[in-house]
Amino acid sequence: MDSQRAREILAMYRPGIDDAKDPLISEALAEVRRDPELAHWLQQEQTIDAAVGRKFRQIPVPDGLEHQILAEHKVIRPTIWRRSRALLVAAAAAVVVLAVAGYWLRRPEPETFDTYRQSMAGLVSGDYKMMLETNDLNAVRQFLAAHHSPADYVLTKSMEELPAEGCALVAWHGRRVSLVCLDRGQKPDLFLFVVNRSALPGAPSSHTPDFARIGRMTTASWTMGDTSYVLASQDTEDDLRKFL
Amino acid sequence: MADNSDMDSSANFEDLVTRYYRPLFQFAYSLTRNETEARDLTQQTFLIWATKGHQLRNASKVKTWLFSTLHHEFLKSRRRQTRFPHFELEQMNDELPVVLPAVIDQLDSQTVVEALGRVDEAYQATLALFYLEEHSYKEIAEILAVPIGTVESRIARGKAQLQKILMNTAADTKGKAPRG
Repeated sequence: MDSQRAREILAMYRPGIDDAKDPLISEALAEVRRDPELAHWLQQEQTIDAAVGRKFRQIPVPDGLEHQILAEHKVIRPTIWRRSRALLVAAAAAVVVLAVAGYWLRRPEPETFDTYRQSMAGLVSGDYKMMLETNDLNAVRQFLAAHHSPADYVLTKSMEELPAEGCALVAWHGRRVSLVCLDRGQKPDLFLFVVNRSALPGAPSSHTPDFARIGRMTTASWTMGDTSYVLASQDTEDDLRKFL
Repeated sequence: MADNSDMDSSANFEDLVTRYYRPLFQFAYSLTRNETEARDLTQQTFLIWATKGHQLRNASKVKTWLFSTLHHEFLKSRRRQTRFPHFELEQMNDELPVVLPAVIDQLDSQTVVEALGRVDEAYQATLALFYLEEHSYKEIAEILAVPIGTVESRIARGKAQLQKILMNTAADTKGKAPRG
């Protein structure tokens, strides 16, 4: 092995990370022992590598990222928690963690508005958990904004009159979707999905709601400004209209 | 050797997140130079792990799998975007430029990551993995699904480009510094 070849190999060698006993590296290191100029070059190269490497390992990691990742993977429906202990036990058995929700969301599907709407309705048809559980709509908005999820949504007056149940961050094909859950007491909850319209091909262009039944969910979809909304509930279209 | 045997069969999701979210984010940020995109890629990687991780037969490969998945997702997202204008470097010199470590120490991480963004795109992921020191060069080859020889040439050429850019950056910074 000549000195030039040894340099090429040793350019990728980091002591303590790569195996010095690897035949390729070991042969190049043997050349270093024979060639003082090569040894000088290696020392200089590794000092520079260490300095650059430190910079990469100092890249700041956002506060709360770990918490956010973990929170996205804990899923149980809060309304079930509030019911009887028997239901709670049943619910525990039926808990679908985000792994399942994630599977549902990640299966191959065209990235159209229709599939988005189906995905969102499907998400709240099963069991899930809000990442933030609060009755405070302002706290919901702040939480979503703090996590870089759409937070500039506009609630209708009748929605604003309801207490919040909580909210969650949803990822759909790399798009950020905010889920706001509104509590209607004994009646089925309302789920409002908010997404940037430009991120969604085929999103409604009108503020007039478009109704669609998806499984046991009724959905209403509309767009205002740059924001597209899907409101979903296990209720009738007439009931849903009261909130639009 | 890089320790890759840490997440064996008993690994649970929380352990994985706690151990790897930082280097994964740093890798993502090195590639995207954008915090939001890097966050998304990191989260997406763990989401995919939650749904498909059980398919991984060799538990000792979890870490490599995570980095490989993140890189794959990055390439997918890039394919959706219009390519941005790329800084063209002059023909690479045969001799590596000499950058004093003290000069590099004066630069912040952001500057170094931006310099990486000006290196030929084909070398960027390899260099980021090289400098993050989470993987041996053999594992880097595995993550990027390229032969070891390709890793070797990408590191050698990429380092030469990066050092040249850093040298110019440091010179510019010095030139702009207020004179006392």
